[in-house]
Amino acid sequence: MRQLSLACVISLLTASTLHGQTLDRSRRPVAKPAAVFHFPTVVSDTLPNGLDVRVVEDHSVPVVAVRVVLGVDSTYDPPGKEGLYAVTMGMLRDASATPGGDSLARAAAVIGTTVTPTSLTTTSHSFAAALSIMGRMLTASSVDSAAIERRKIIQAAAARRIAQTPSSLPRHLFYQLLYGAGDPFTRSLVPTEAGVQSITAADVQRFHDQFFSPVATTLVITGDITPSAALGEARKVFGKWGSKRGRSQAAESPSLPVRETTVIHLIDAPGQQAYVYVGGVGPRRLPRDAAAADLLGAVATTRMQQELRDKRALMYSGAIGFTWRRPTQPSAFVGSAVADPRKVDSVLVTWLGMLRVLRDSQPAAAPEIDAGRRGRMGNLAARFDGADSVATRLVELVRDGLTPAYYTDWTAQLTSMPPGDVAAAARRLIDLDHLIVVVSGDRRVIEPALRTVGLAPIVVVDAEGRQKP
Amino acid sequence: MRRALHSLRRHLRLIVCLLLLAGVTADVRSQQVQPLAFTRFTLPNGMNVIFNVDHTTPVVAVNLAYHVGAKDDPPNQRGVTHLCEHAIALGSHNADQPFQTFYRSIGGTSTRWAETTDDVTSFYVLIPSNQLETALWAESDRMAAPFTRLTPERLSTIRALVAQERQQNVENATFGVSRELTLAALFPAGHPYHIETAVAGAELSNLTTADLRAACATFYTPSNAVLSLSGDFDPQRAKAWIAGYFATIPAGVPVVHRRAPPIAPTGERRLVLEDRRAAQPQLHLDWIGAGYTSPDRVALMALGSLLSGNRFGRLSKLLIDERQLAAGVSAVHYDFENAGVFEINVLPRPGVSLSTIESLVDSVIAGLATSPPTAEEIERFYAANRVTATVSLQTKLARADTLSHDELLTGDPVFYVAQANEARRLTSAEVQRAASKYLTSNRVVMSLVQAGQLGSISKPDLPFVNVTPPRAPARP
Repeated sequence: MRQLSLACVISLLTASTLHGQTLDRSRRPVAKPAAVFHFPTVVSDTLPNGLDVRVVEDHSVPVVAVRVVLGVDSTYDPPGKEGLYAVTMGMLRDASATPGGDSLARAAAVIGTTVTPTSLTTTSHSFAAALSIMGRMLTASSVDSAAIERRKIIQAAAARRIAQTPSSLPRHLFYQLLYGAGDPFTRSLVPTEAGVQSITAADVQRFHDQFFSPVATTLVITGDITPSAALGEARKVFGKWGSKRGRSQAAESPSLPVRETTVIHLIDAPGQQAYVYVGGVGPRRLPRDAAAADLLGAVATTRMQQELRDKRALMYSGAIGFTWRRPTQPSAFVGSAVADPRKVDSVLVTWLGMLRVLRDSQPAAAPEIDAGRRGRMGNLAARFDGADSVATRLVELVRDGLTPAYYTDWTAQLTSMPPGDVAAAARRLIDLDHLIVVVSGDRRVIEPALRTVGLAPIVVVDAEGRQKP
Repeated sequence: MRRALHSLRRHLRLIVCLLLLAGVTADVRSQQVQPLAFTRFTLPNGMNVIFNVDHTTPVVAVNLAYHVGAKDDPPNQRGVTHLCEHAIALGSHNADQPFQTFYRSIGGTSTRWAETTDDVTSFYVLIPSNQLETALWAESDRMAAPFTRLTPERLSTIRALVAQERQQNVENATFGVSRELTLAALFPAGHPYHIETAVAGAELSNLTTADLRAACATFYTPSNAVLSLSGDFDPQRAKAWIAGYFATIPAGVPVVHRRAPPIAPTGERRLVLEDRRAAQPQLHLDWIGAGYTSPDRVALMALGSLLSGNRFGRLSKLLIDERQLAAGVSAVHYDFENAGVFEINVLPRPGVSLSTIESLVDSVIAGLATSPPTAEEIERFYAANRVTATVSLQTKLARADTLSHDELLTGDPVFYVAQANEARRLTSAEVQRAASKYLTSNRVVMSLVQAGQLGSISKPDLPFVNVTPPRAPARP
């Protein structure tokens, strides 16, 4: 009651101050310090069969999100069988686990919820029914040939759709040049129709036997549910899931390709727009390095937006940042932009010039770093808005072998990071002599102008990176 | 004896299953969508304000929506509303920088920052709670004088950006122009929904800053706006800030929107769209549907679910599972303020004839007359609709957007709840009636094929118009 009265007095005072005099719009309000970020409280438990369960409460809307982190994803697809993980998951979703054929899909339709073996979001009222369906999908032990064939058709169509998406080729080539063609992440980006068609029921059975196990799995439940209720349902649904297999080893990444010098790789893809990727190898995901890198990315993106978009209208959308992988693997320092093919030379001259200035003559200044810090912190809170978002953050932590303390350390580093550390990160990470530059667009328009400005040697390649005359 | 026992068991199991299903069905019907908790007030200048308070996360979504969209473009200035959005985003007199940069600098984030649809222009951002007053100060500053940073040079820049936005999102996507071409065929010239939001800019190339101000000024006023806040804030304090920063802005003149006139029957129009980058053909069938507040809207949404919802849609089942002719099927109704579109898209499997697909789609539609929607089909729609109406409002940005949108178009910030719950009373006859009323011979059939593959279009013997734009991109 006292708090309410105090709030009323403050608001009346504020209102009268604003009303009682001519409003001076030039006076920008001074914000109070931002709330300190706290990772939501996570309640954890491990079932007797080894299944790890993590629960976060959020009662703001009657919604519950469930995610399953398996010890496997599409980066575990064997070479030549890219799409195997997707087909396996689709088979588990479609398979008829009980007589009547469509029983799982029918049960999901009755509660109006899309349920896959690894994901569901539903109302709190339908949570138990939805989790039960998910459990039946995930704990099935035999493969269903009809469901596999159905999923192969869908996955092959997806592969064709990816192939006709203009941005997929340059993105794939960028990561191929960065990590190598044999890197599991690179391979997972572009499944081929032939690879999908070669998948057999025996492949799916082997894959399933090898990787699906409660010991290697984490169940994440967030939203409008208490931890005791969530854990109770988890025990009921997954308690009898048995397997003696342990955690599987992550797929090996080959050593990184060595680059002699910066080279522009040009994919000849006539069209209204060109896709430009610029970057190199980034740091591993350790809090201090990640915080410095994230601030560098924020400053670089702001300068890129100002120079390429606001001042010169050279692009409509573009950003620079880091794509993080597991802490044992190097990240990617990557920027991307979509531009008019006639302006690609100007885009690259401006972009690389901006990176050079950021590294050498005008390192990130304190106001830029403050803005970047506020942006990253604000963005962090926004990334925990809603049951789905919180579940996604937990999945990232589990997948990357991190704990919530990672965010505490990261925010502490971000808050105290001096400009000198960001400048040092720029010198360390912006290697203008060994950049990967991929441009996909109309060669006739782009190549002559790029050769005239002479930024770097140009190699014209096909979609797989093979050199063309 | 054993056979009799086995038979009895089977029957008992079936009875139990039916009882359980009946129980679940009755349970589903008894559940209703609960509206977002909100408070609303109106400033003396006519600006409506809606609050949804939620302290779970220390952020606030700020959504300022104006009742103006592409449908309000004058016929000779198509795209001007979208250009106005970019002009307003340039910044304000006192927040002297592009708003995207400004908001980023105070920790703001957004999916698109601003958006112009056919009916509404929205500016939206999620900010840390401690920056709410700053955001309200900035938004009021640009509402008070929305085009202070517009200069001839900046007009030139945003004109180029709008053209690039269109190229990136529409022209450079495989078959990306299909939606515009469909709307152009469904709605006759002069109709407000005849053309999409973004245009190449030809009609705007000679526009001066004075022209743009004149075209926009009427719409971006308090009396034509709704401000919605969702998140972690003190409503009393926010109300005082809003009164202080916004109340002195003049109300503006009453806005007159272009009305959507009735559309005369046009029969079937058959279109062909070629694209060299296409790896697989598609078939689209489109009809004019119902507007956002139309009583027919829910029945058309149910019809979409009946045809392609999950694995049990009649078209999905026939084309994907039984006949194995398609890799994907969708049937959806999407709506504007005063009209809508019902669209069926089919992605055939390689080598399957589009003509065969079209004939089968038509046979399923014709079958609705004799085979009305079952109770189970309507239950599935209601269940999915109910879950979506709740789940889609998890984020504060989505909540503020919904509250603004529904207030602007209907005067009820939670209109979506009434529609979602109305679905509980939907009958089979109503869905059947909507099908016969809307899915008529007045439609657009579009074959989307790889360039040069005109032999693969649907029913090539029937007259068609090739609507492929002359500058269609080519594949490497």
